Amino acid sequence: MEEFVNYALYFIACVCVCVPLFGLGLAPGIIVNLEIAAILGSFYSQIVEKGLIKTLIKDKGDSPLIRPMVPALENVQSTIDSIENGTFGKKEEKESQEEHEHHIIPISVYAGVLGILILGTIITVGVAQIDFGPWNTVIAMLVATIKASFVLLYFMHLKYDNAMNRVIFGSGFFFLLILFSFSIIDIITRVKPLLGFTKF
Amino acid sequence: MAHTETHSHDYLNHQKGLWSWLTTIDHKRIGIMYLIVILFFFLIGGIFALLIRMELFSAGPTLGIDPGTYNRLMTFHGAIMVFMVIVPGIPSIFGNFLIPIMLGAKDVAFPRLNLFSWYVFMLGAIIAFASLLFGGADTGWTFYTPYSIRQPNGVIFLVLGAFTMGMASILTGLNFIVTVHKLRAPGQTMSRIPLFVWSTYATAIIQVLATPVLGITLLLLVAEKTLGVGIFDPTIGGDPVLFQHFFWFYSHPAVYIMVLPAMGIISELIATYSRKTVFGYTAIAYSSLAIGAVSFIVWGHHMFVSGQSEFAGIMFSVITMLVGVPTAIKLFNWIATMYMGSIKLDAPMLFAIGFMFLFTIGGLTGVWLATLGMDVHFHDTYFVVAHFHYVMVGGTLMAFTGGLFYWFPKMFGRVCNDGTARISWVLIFTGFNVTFFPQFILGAMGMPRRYFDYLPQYESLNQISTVGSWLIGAGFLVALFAVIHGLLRGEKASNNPWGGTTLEWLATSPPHHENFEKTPIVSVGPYEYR
Amino acid sequence: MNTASKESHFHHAHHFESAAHQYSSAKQGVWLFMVTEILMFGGLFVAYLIYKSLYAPVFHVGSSYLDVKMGTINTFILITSSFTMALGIYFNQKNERSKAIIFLAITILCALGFMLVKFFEYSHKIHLGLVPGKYFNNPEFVQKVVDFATNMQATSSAHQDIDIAALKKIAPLYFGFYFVMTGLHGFHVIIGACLILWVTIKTAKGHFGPEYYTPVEGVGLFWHIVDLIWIYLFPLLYLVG
Repeated sequence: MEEFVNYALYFIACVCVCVPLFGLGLAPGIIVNLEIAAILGSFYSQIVEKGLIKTLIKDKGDSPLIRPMVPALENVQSTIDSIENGTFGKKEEKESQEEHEHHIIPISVYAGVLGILILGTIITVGVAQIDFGPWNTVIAMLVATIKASFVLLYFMHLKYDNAMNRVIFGSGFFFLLILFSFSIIDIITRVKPLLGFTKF
Repeated sequence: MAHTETHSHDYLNHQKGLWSWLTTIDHKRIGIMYLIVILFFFLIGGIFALLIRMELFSAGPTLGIDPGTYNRLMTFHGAIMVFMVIVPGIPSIFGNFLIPIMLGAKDVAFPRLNLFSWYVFMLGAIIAFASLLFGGADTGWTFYTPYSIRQPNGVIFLVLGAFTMGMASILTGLNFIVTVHKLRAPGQTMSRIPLFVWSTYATAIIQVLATPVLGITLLLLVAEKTLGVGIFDPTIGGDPVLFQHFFWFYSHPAVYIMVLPAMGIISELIATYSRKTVFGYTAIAYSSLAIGAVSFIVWGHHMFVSGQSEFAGIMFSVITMLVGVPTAIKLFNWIATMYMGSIKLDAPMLFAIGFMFLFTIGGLTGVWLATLGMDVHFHDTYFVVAHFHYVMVGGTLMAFTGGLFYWFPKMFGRVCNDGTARISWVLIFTGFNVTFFPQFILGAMGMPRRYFDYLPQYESLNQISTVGSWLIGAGFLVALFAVIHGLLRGEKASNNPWGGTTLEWLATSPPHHENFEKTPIVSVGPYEYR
Repeated sequence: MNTASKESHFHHAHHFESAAHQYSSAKQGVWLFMVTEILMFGGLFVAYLIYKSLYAPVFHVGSSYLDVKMGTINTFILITSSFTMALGIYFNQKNERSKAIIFLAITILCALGFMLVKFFEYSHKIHLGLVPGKYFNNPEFVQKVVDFATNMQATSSAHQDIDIAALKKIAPLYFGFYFVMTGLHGFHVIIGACLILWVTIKTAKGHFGPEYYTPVEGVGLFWHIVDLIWIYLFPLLYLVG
């Protein structure tokens, strides 16, 4: 449940960012789709919370209109249940969440990641000798992000961890992006400034 | 550890002796420790406020202090109230005490970290006060550059104190998030936790995400002052507005750290004193998260006239309008809760109703300030001062006091005299309006804020405002008296003197040191009044 | 997870239901703390990127003054230390105490090595007067910035409005960023080394085993974050420019 809440949180933040930025006529289609998705998400949460499908099956399951739909509804309900208790997509029910977290990564995987990181460093330094102009920063950051992902997923176990920790970590970057983007929007939209602020 | 075990199992008597308190890892005791020190800081900040209002009683010098001293008073009033009282207040006191009990848990997720946060908080307060030994700070609690770079070294201590208290805030928030995720009682899904927990959870998320940026901003300010780095100093080519961007990236979400837990308290009070389940539980719960989320993208509304671009100003102004929506949802749902409820006007309920009224005024005037064009006129006037005092004092402090009287029996096992508490409410509510409503008018008339002196035409309203401040002071003294009298002479409280339905009312008053003898199993929502 | 090490006194805290419950809660707590570290350093990165876009010549020349070789060596050191840290956790999980101690110790040595290289870098810069703000004393650097900017102005029509005088004044800002960013990072390396020492000692005393190694993993996460920050810091400061 808290995962859903967290995802919903980011979603709301995304909409709040997109509406003013895109709402200036650039991409109304995106906004409309996001709004629809938000409504559907909220509807979904209502179904999950209030067990609307269960009540529907229980109270009205005999009516001629609902009865043919009951098997399909039960299917939907069990899918929802499995999402809620985290077993969605998992074939083996024995694999408990906690055993999953104690999953031990073999040394060979660690060594492989080390190799990739060393390679990545060599690439970074090598590529830096060539001047791509304004793309320099982007390429460097891209390689850094790939290296960082390997550290995160394997050395820090995020690949085998529960989703909440991934969401927690991702949120940090997301909010950093907000800080950066809004500050840079201010700076690049200032009128040609006074002493010191030279535009390139 | 020098302590003696007694027969009593409640947390107050489980172990005795000062050392047992200073080394406790019981969240309830830590909450009480926060209560004592925060009330003390509130007293100091309040005295500074009274001094400020005294000085502003008449045009020209009133108290015989010079402008520099006035500016220091003003800065410390702000810094103390923000960093030592309102930001930590409700989460560290009521959050610490109540969240594990409301969740049916035995403690927070990281009890030792909890104690460590208290010590970090105290260290920060000491560092902040040490600034007074080095000339203090007169920059205002917002430390705007470049003035704060030029000022003497007292600023560094206040800034480092704020940094340290920010660390305590982060650790508290972290503790609460994991507690809410992991330590709920069997059967207690997220949709069965009390609304106070929902709002404190949203607050904790903001604390964890926003405070680090304040941390780095303050560190950079210290580097700027000590090394002359040049990042915020316009004479070398730095951007002072960038400081404001970084500062307000934290400080705007911070004001929601201040107000969200207060709204959580109001949800609890309204439910109990209307004897009715909260209308729109889901909406209120998600609106807490929505307020938290939106709070991160509106910070530029503090900077409309700072030199940020017009485009950025428009963008922030539009987005800020959004934040009123979830807030209004809460308010309407509270009113709907009260409708057809069986209302009891005990003191906590008076504080809750007072909150709803005063916060509405504060919130609506916030929308006026969010409107770019109007803010050009209102910025840095007393209109802004009135606005934030309405939401912080009329809002958060009202909720705080109401919550204190409400949970007092639970925390201490005794009942406060309701009549005394109501008198304190009358004084606080009246005094508050007398103090701050004229300030809206003063601001609209153009009186600037943070000024030691003012033009003669503003004098009469200022005098009314000062008299109001005395009423507020009296009101809080009466409240303090009610609390102390309750502690010493109050009659013993039953487990559930108000008829609440959340889990803390199942525990004894005061609670067992492990909260519950047997872990409760939850099968219904938190406000089942039937 | 059934093999308990003989000296381990571990039983989970009373407010948790089980050891696994405590473990996953502790991990979540550490991850939340890591987010705050990311946001704190991230603020510095944001400021750096903003000023880099405003004063590109300063950052271009400044970056050329940094020793890429030393930076690369430090990168290899930290990556290796991340690897050895992961192995330190691994061998605790496998109850092979002596191997765990060896790899944790190597991690500490890597940290010290990092600080040693950093010491050489810093002392060289201090010697040249390439220090932040008001202590800056290297006119040659400023001249190079001016030359670069003049060159840009001459060769590109888009860059006619470069304010050379402003660039001269703001030039030391580069080293302000350099020292604050690498200094704060170095501070975290030192803290990390102390934390790793702490868990190494506890490993040696037999406090950890397959049923309880949470502190080692928590410290490991912290150490990986330190590595992560350097993975971004190194290209941004040393290479791009």
